[in-house]
Amino acid sequence: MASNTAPKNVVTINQKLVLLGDSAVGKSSLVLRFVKDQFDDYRESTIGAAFLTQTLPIDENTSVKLEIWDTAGQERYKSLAPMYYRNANCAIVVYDITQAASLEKAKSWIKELQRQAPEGIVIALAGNKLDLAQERRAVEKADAEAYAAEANLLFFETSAKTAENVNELFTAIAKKLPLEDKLNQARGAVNRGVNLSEARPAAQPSGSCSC
Amino acid sequence: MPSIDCKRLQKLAPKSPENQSKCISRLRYMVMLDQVESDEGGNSSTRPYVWAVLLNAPPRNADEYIRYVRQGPSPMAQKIQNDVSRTLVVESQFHSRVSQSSLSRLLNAYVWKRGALYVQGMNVLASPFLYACKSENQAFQFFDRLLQNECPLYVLPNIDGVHRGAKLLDKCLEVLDHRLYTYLLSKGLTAKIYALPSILTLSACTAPLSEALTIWDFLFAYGIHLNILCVIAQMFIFREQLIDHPSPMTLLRTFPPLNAKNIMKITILLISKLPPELYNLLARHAWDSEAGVLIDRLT
Repeated sequence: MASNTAPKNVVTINQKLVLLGDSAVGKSSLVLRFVKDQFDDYRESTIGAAFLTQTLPIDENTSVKLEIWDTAGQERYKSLAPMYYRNANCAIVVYDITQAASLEKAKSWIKELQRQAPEGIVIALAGNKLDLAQERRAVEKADAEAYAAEANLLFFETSAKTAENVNELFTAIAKKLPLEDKLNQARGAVNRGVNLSEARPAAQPSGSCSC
Repeated sequence: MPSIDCKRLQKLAPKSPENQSKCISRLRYMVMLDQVESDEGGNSSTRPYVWAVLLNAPPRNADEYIRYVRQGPSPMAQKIQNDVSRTLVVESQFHSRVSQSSLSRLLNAYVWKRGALYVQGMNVLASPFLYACKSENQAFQFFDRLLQNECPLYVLPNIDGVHRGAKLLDKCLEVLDHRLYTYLLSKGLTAKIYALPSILTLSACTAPLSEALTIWDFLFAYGIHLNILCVIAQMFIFREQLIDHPSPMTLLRTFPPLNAKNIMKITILLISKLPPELYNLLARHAWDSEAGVLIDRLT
């Protein structure tokens, strides 16, 4: 992925995103579809989706650089998920619209995130494999949408195969992230001449002023 | 971010012999999820206790170690001295805390104790112990335990286990990232060329030491065989630069600075994608000669 030098007045904020859901719901395909424009076939790999970054413009002055962690969906790796979501800023919980059981599993992940993930984490529920809806739909969109609304989640039905709603999903998450504090710090850093591309994200201020 | 300190460690103490293994499993999980508390230089008063449990190395008095030190320079003393003076040269905090003479003493004592040859790379393997432990004797006990129990095949004169580790690294990389594997191969690069130091030293040859110590917490918790995947994880972190570079060996001469947390997270994802038979050979390669025969037969 070629990393363009951002114009000097654009501030880029790093955020961590974790994908959760059953195996075979298409988590990896979603990520590869989202980032694919930055990859040619030469760079794809079996674990290509394990750890990727992608920068998304939010507006003309702001970009979000998402550090995207795919997780192992198999049951025996379930206890390892905290390692990935513990510091995450946002999460996508994926189910397969052709498998009702995968939505139940997704709901259980959402409960775990609400209990144990950082407070204020932005969560999106994604019903993948929309391209199979005509012949194999097992989860009604309205049902999942109602659940998402009640739990205050973003909600999209997506198709990694056709790319439907994939960019919309990631963009909606990026726009919902609460970036004001980090933006103010980053703009302050820019004004002080700090090279942001080298700096680590600043820790949350604890009452100290940054003048 | 919660971290493991002595207070949390004490709460884990087994109430009875029966639940000892459950407590150790709990400690291993904690080590993976939480960092062992330490300052920014990697100093930690807790780490020696964590390592003592994970390496199964209870305290021993210093009499044995002192006896070996009193024997003075071993037959390998000159070779040891040559390596000691160039150990972890970029780690200034290491050098302010660990003297060359203590590293020499420990390595010579090991040669005396085991009647073994000194193998280059043992100097790097000994260094994190001297840095992290409360005494030279404790460092010696842990070092001996690591070499005898965890990776005896690494420190044979021919470093057979390390070469097998390199072969397994290539096999794992071929499965996990075929594009990167074939690209490096097209440049004549196999793990024997770029990864032997990282394999032999359990990634401690790559700075910073403070991050290597956290990787060692993870390796002692789940097995030093995972270092092979940790090396792949390190490569994966700068995968795009490797694939874009016409001479990737110039990048592989020195791996990027360690980021232990990301390396651990990627390593766990890699485990989940390996075929079980390959993982089984990986798990045994550092200590099991029978696995070595099977590995040697892999094409």
